[in-house]
Amino acid sequence: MNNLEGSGDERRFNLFGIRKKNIESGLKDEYQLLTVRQLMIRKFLRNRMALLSFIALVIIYAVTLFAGFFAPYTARDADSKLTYSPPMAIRLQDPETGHFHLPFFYPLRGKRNMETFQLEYVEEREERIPIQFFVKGEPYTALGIIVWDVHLFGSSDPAERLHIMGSDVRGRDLFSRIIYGGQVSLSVGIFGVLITIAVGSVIGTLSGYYGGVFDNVVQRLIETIRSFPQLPLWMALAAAIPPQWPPEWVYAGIVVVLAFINWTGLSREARGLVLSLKERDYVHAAEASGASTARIVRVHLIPNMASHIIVTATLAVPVTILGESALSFLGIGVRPPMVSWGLLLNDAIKIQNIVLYPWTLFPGLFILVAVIAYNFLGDGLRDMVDPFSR
Amino acid sequence: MTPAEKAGADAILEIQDLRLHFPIKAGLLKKTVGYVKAVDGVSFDVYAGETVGLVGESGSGKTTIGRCIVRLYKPTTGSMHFRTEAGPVDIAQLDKRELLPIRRDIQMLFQDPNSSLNARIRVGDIIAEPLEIHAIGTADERRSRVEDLLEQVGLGAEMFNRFPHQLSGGQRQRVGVARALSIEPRFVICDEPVSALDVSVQAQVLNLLADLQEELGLTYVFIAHDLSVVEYISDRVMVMYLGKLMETAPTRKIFEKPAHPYTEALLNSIPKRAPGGHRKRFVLTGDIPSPVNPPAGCVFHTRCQYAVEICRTETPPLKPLPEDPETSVACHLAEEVTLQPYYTAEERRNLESSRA
Repeated sequence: MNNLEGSGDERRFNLFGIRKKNIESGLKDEYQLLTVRQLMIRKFLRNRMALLSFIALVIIYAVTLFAGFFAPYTARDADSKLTYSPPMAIRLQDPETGHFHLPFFYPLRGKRNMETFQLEYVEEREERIPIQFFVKGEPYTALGIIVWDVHLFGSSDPAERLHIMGSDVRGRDLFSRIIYGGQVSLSVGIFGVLITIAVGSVIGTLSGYYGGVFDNVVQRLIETIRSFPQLPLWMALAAAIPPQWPPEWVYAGIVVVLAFINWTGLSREARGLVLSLKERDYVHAAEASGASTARIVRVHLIPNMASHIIVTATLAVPVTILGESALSFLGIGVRPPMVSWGLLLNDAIKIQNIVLYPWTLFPGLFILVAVIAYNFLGDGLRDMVDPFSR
Repeated sequence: MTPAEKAGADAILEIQDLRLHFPIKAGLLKKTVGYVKAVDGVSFDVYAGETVGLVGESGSGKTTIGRCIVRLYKPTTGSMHFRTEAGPVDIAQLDKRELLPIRRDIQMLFQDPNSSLNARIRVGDIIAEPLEIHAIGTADERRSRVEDLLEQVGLGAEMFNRFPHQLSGGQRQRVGVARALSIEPRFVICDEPVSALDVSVQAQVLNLLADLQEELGLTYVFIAHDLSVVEYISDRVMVMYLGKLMETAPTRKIFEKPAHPYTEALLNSIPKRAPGGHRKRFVLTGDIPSPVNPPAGCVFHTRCQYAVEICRTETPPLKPLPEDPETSVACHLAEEVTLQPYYTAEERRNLESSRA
C-alpha cells in the first residue's frame, strides 16, 4: 500500500492517453486512465475552430493590451493635412526592377477636385518612404506604468505619416485608433461578464437551492427584465448615466448597464443546474450522511456547475461586446476622448461617408472577428464540458 | 435468523403509522390543492440483524419509506423509533443537528451508481466523505480506513485515485457500498441496489451485501421491485401498494403461500424458472392508481380479480392470519380465497436440490 504514495499525482498521466505503464506506483493496469479534466482538454483540442478562435482571441487581447507598442500612433495623434486619407498600401516590390524591396510606401498628396470640391489623394510615386520596425515615435504608457516611445512599425519619416487603414475626419490613424478602441470594446466584454457571473451565479444558486418565496420573487423579476426588448432597455439605462460624469465613470456605467440584462440569463442557467444537481443521488448521499448545506454547495454543486457557467459566460461576452458597440455607435455609449469600436463605427453612420470613405467600416470587421471567435470558443467549451459524449 | 429468534429480539426500528403526504401546489399563489399520499399509514418493525425486503410496483411508496428512514424526507405524521445505546429515539421529527449522531447508524445505498457518485471526485474521497462530515480520524487514518474498505468490498486499494467514470457499473456500486459502510452504520437502507446492474453483476453485489451483513452484523431494509432478488436476500418480505402495506410474511411463505391477491399478481409476473410448463397466469393490467386520489375501500380493488362489494367500501386493516400469525395481510378475503403460489413446497425442494 506504500507504493500508492504519489499515485495521486495527475501529472503522471500523459495528456494523449497513450499506453504507458506506471512503474513507480506499481499499478496493475497497463492502460493509464484519464481524469475528467484531461478528457475535457483533449476534447477541446480536437475542435479546430475553437482552438483557432482561442489563439486569435489571445493575439487580439495581447495586441490591445500593449496598444501603444503595436499601434504606430496614439489614438489622438492627428494630421490635418491627411483627413480621410484612404488606406496606404505597403509595398514589397520595386516597380522598376520588379525585385523584392524592403517594405516602403508612397506618401499621399491631397488635391482638391475643383468640380466636386472633394479632397482627392494621389500617391507621390517619386518618393519612397521606408517602413521601419521598432521605430521611435510618440511616447505612450504601456500597462499604465511603462513609458516608452518605440512602436512595432511605422514610417521612417515623422513628417510623412503611414495610415494602413486610412484616417478619419481629423487625420487620425484609424488602425491605431482601432487598437486603442479594442481596449474598451474587449474589456467591456470581460468586465461585464465578470459582474454577470458574480451576480447571476450567486442569485441563481440561492434561488435554485432554497426555492420558495425568494425563488419566486427572483424569477418574476428576471421575467420582467427579460420581457423588455433588449436594445431599448439598454438605451434607456445608458441614457440615465449623467452626462457630466468623466469618461471612465461612463465606461463603468456602461459595463453595469450591459451586465444588468445578462445576469438574468446566467442566473437562470445556474438555477436550472442547481435544481437538477440537488436531486442527484450523490447529493442525497451527502445529505443522508449529515453534510451541511455549505459543504454540499462547495463539494458537489460548484464543481459540477463551473464548466457550464464558464460556457454561458463565454457566450455572453460577444453579446456584451455587441451591446457596447451598439450603444457607442448610437452615441450613448462610451464618450470621446475614449475610443471604442462602436464609437469608431459612428464615423460611418452617414451613408455618404460609407460611399466616400469605405475604410471607416474597418472597426466593424474587428467586431465581427471578435464576436465570431468568442462564439466558436463558447461552442468548443460547450462540447468540452460533456467529455463523455462522442 | 428464525422467526422465533426474531420474536425474542428487540426491534431496532419501530415504525408506527408513518405518513408522508406531499402537498400539490398550483396557481399563482401556490395554494395547496391536494396531497400526494406517498406513504399512507404504514407500521412495521425491523429486528437487528435481519433483512426485510420491501417490494411493490413503481409508485408504491417503497423508496419514499426508505428516504424517510434516512430522513431525506420528513414524515408528515407517525413515529420512527430507532434503538440507540441510550434507548429508542423517535427520529421522525428530529431537526438536522439532532439527527447528526443518528446518521452514523443509518446509511443508504442508492439505486443508480452512475448518479450516486459525483463524477468530479476521486473514489477515495467519495468513500471518505461520510468520515469527513463526521470529522472522524485524521486525514491519514481516513485514508487507511478507505483503503481497508476498498479491499473489503473487493475493489483493491489501487482504486483510491480513480474517478467513477473509470469504473464499471458493478465496481461503482461497490464504491457506493464502501461509502455507506465507511462510518460503520448498523442499519442500511438498500434502495434497489442491483436493479441498474447487469444480471451477472447483480449476484456478485448481492453476495457482497450478504457477506458484509454476516461480517458486520448489519440490518438491511432491502427495497426492490424484483421478487426474485428479494427471495435471495430477505428474511421477511413486505409488499406495498399505493403507500400501504398489503402483506408481510417470511420470504418462503410469500412464495409458497401468498395471502394477498396483489402478492399473487406480483408472483405471477416473475418468469417461472422451474420446469413443468406454464400456468395460466393472471397478469396485472393497467397502472397503479394515482396516490392523489387513491381508490376508496381497499386501494387494490380496482385491479383485483377477486374484489367484492366490501372491498370497494371498507379499508381492510393489516392483521395477522389466525392460522399463521407470522403472516399479516390487509385483505377482506384473506381467509376465503385460495391463491396460486409461485411454487409448492415440493417444487422448492426440487429447485434447491438442483441448485445444490
